[in-house]
Amino acid sequence: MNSIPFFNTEIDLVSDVIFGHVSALLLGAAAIFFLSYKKKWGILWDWMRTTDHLKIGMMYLAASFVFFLRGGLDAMFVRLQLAFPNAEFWVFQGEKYNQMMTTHGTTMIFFVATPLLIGLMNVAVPLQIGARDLAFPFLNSLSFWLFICGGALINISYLLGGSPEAAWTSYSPLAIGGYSNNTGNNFYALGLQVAGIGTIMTAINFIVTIVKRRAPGMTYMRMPLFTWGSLVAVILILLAFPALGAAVLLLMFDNIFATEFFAGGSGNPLLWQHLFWIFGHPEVYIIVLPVFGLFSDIISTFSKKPVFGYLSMVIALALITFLSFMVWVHHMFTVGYGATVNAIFAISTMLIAVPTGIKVFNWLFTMRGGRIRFPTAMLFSVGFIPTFVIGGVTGVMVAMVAADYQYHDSYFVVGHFHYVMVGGTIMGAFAGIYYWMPKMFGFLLNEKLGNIHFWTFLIGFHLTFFPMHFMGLNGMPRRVYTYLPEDGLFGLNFVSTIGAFIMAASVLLFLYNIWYSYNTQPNEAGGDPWNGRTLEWTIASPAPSDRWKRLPVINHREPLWESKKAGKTALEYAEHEERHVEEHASSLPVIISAALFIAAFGFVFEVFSIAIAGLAITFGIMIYRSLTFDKNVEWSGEDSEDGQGKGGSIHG
Amino acid sequence: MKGAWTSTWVLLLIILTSGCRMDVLDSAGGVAEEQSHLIVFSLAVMMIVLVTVFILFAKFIWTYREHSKADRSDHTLRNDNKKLEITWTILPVIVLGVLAVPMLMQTYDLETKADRDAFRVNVTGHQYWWQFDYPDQNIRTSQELHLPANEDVVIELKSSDVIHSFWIPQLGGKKDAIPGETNELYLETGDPGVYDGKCAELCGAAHTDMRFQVVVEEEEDFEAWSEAVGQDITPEKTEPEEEGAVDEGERVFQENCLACHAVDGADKDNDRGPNLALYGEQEKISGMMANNKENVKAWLRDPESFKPSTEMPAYDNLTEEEMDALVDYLHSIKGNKVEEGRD
Amino acid sequence: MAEQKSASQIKSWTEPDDRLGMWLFIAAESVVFLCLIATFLVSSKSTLNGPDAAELLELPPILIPSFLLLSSSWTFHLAEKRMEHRNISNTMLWLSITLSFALVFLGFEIYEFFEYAKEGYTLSESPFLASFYVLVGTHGAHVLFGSVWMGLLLWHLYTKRTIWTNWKRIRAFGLYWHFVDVVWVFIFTLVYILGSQGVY
Repeated sequence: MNSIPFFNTEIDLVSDVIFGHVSALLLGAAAIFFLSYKKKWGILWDWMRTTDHLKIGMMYLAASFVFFLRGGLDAMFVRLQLAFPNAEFWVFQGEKYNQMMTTHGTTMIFFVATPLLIGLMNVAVPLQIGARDLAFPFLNSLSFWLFICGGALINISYLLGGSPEAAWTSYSPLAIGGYSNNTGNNFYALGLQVAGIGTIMTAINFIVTIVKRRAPGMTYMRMPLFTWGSLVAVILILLAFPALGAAVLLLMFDNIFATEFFAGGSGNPLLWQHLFWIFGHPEVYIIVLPVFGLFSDIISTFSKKPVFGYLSMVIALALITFLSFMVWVHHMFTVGYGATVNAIFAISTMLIAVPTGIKVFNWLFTMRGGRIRFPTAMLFSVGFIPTFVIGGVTGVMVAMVAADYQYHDSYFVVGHFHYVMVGGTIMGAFAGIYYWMPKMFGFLLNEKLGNIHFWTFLIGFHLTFFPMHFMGLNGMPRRVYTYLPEDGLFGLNFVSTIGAFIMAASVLLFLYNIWYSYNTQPNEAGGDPWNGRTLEWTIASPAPSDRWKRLPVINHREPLWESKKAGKTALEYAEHEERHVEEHASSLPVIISAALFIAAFGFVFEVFSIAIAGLAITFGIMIYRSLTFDKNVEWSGEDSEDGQGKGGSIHG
Repeated sequence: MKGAWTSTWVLLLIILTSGCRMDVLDSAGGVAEEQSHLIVFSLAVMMIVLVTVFILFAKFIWTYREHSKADRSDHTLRNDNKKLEITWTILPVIVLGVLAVPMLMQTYDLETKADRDAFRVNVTGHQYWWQFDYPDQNIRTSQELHLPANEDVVIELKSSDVIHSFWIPQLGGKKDAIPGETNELYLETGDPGVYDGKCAELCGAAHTDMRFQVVVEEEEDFEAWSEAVGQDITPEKTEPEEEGAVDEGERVFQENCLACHAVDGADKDNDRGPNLALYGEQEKISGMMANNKENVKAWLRDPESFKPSTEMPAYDNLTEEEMDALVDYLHSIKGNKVEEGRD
Repeated sequence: MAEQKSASQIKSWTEPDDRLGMWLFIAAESVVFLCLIATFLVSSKSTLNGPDAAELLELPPILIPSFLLLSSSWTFHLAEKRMEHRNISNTMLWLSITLSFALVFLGFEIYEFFEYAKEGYTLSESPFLASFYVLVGTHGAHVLFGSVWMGLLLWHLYTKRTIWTNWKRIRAFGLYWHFVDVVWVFIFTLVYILGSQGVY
């Protein structure tokens, strides 16, 4: 086999890798040509430096959608390889299949589901609570660029020596000690480390924003449920992602510095599983709780009714958050812990069904007695309910430990979590994009195309994932690249592959819808195209850059709806514009992320001079930022003056 | 909404009726049977939940669509209702309680049974094959697990490299084989039969191909089998004799295979590769494909194409005659031959 | 009047923003250290051919640096108090003392690591040694980071007499520094005291 040496690894010159390089080059060239031809470099540079939450939110959505296409492409390869028994599609057997399956999982969890929701939070949370921006705009930009940097690391791995191939859970000892491609495992550890740091900073940013930056009168019990869902999700991020950080740090040590934390025999393979799942299970709720809130808002808006049982919705969110930290061992039911340990974690897992059930019934009863309209955003929300309930009941089934000995690591589990994640997070993201599109771009997405998008997606989704439960019950283990003709799995897999193609077509249709709607601009969406109820619909579409010249004064849970009922046209606003800090756009986040990218690159290929140089640039820029901080902020507001001179403010 | 559901369900029905097997529910032993009962029971209970939600869902969506004339006066202003909310908090707790009782009983049951005096097999997972040691019979085999019928079995699980997971869907749930640790899995065999075994935890490139066959047979058949496996027939590790002195196939084996493979269950030194005891009787190669001459030759010429990243090297350097002789030799390792050879 | 109002507003929301952010950062950091401590406890028995904790660790040499690091929390507190009284030069004095304590601590730790390495006790020797180096080293990296941060604070105090922004900086750093000290209390107890007494 021909190969080119590349640092401590080699790049194989085989069809799929060449295809990857060529398509990366072509896409890059096309992008450069487009930017030059349309003279957009300046605009791009402006966007890269922005610290505005709405713009960053839109960039999050766009970038995670690009990763969604990549993860989707992996999924198509996986489904094609599995369409027929003993199939040999292109190169995707053995290691290459494992690489595809691993990048699919890793990308979808870390670079699609999580950032899609962070994107929606960036777009909507400040608008929903009447905050001018996030508490730390610079940090927000840095978070975004770290996420891009981590995603880039995972994505280039295929081209530079091989992707990780130990699955997104990266169980040791498979992921260490040369049992699988070491370069790929390093990319995994470093990519997740960098992106994870960014995600933790996002969490800090949102908690401070929601706790400290709500508009006057916006009490906790008046916050829209999307904001509530986001708040509990970012709390989970704050406490869960550091565990992942520690885990991938140790994984990196095992692979680069020859330690044996997770090695079989000398080390402890189960330690990795504990650290990973202490993060991993809350992660599931991180990507679903904001969506719960989002669906509550959408269902309420389009049923023309307030949310049913607001208080119990909030309590349910809090309960799920709390319980999600005490169920992680249900991912480890078969590692050989005793009946008592397994039973405790089985019971705590089943308990999560209770608050989740409360939420489902509250959604149903929000619709009861309403006047339900079905624009695409509502279709996705309504389609989510039965889908999610199917995922929920299979969730209870897999929680039942004695029966789980059969389901565990089989396709039943694959079916279960795709119902929850695609049916929850991805459908939620689509709903959110249709819902808030006018706030971002000022136009509505075409409803006819949206309808087709929804129905094809729903049908494709169920066709793809429903048969997986039966594959599992017929003994098909997870992460296999093929099966035998006599296994009786052909029909199910074939249907699943058909479904996957329908979903892929549906996603392409969605992209077309954006392009089409952008060009035709069917509606000049006003500030309030959906007859909304919450604060974000009181401002113009797209949200103007000085969104809250003066902060709104909130007297009710649904401020806009209340003022509509009272026949008023506008909200009350604070008398004065408060003093606040405004930070200028900055190129430092991009540079820091680029430096960390270089550092991570050095670690991956174990060229420590590059790694140290990257780290040195990173810390150097942090020092530079500290020294120039005062020049980059500005005081805005009515009684604006040089705030730095206020020595007396120490004691107020 | 309804269109999607109907078409989905119809399609699924077609699949289900077109000969879809479900090994997990088609149990061949006590443990698997209890587990399948638990699965069916939980599915039934969950169907009640599912149907309740679906009915409410369809009813509300239909009744309160925007332009319907339904009477809304009762509900429009209601945005909470203590009684309802308490109902759907308490009811799920009760439902979960109903599910939890049999679940807990079964979970503890499995563990206490594992302590009982049972038939024991020590299983070691290797990338990518399974090794079976029978401590009481003092024999070792691989790839084909023979168990006596209607017997309680305790499988002791170990791994020599990465984590594997030992799973025989028709005999019961799985358990992981973790390097550096020992796990016990309790199973019960039923009537004689042949079942598929699999590795359920990703263990590398050929995780898919880490399959094995389970042969459950009557007590006396098992005794005969273990007797035959235990006969020492592996060639000596000396220099191969001159051509023609011994069987040609045995000579080729001695030259090429003996470093890793033994051909009887009494030999426990050659454990780099699977033990080939009674290879001629095995139904499948590696639990994957029919054990016939063509397949074995194809396997020997290019093992990578069947098991990616396997340690087994390709033997494409053997002549056609040598290959034929080798395969004939391998296929001659059968119970009756062993008996003959002893006489 | 207007001036006073705006000043109180700054106190009411601008300053607590940073403090809350810092608290949350500490929450995240605590999880990291909890994981590393758990790793240490799990790995401590796995010494392979290397030394075990009782052989490796001695209490006396670590007492002085520990004492200095813990005192640095107190000296920093004094710096903060001087800052409240707008006594910039005394603030800088106490901050410099804090910094020098931190640097001495770091020096001891680096010396300790070099000594171990000279005896052949490297990272890859055993999971116990690896977990020891990673846990103590991560804490040391935090002390180093804090030292650079203190250097910057001193620079800010020296160049700009603008009390308010510097006050914000000092307050945020204070949380970080006390946290680093508290972590050391745990490491000192769990690793050095229990380790040297042969508990593992």
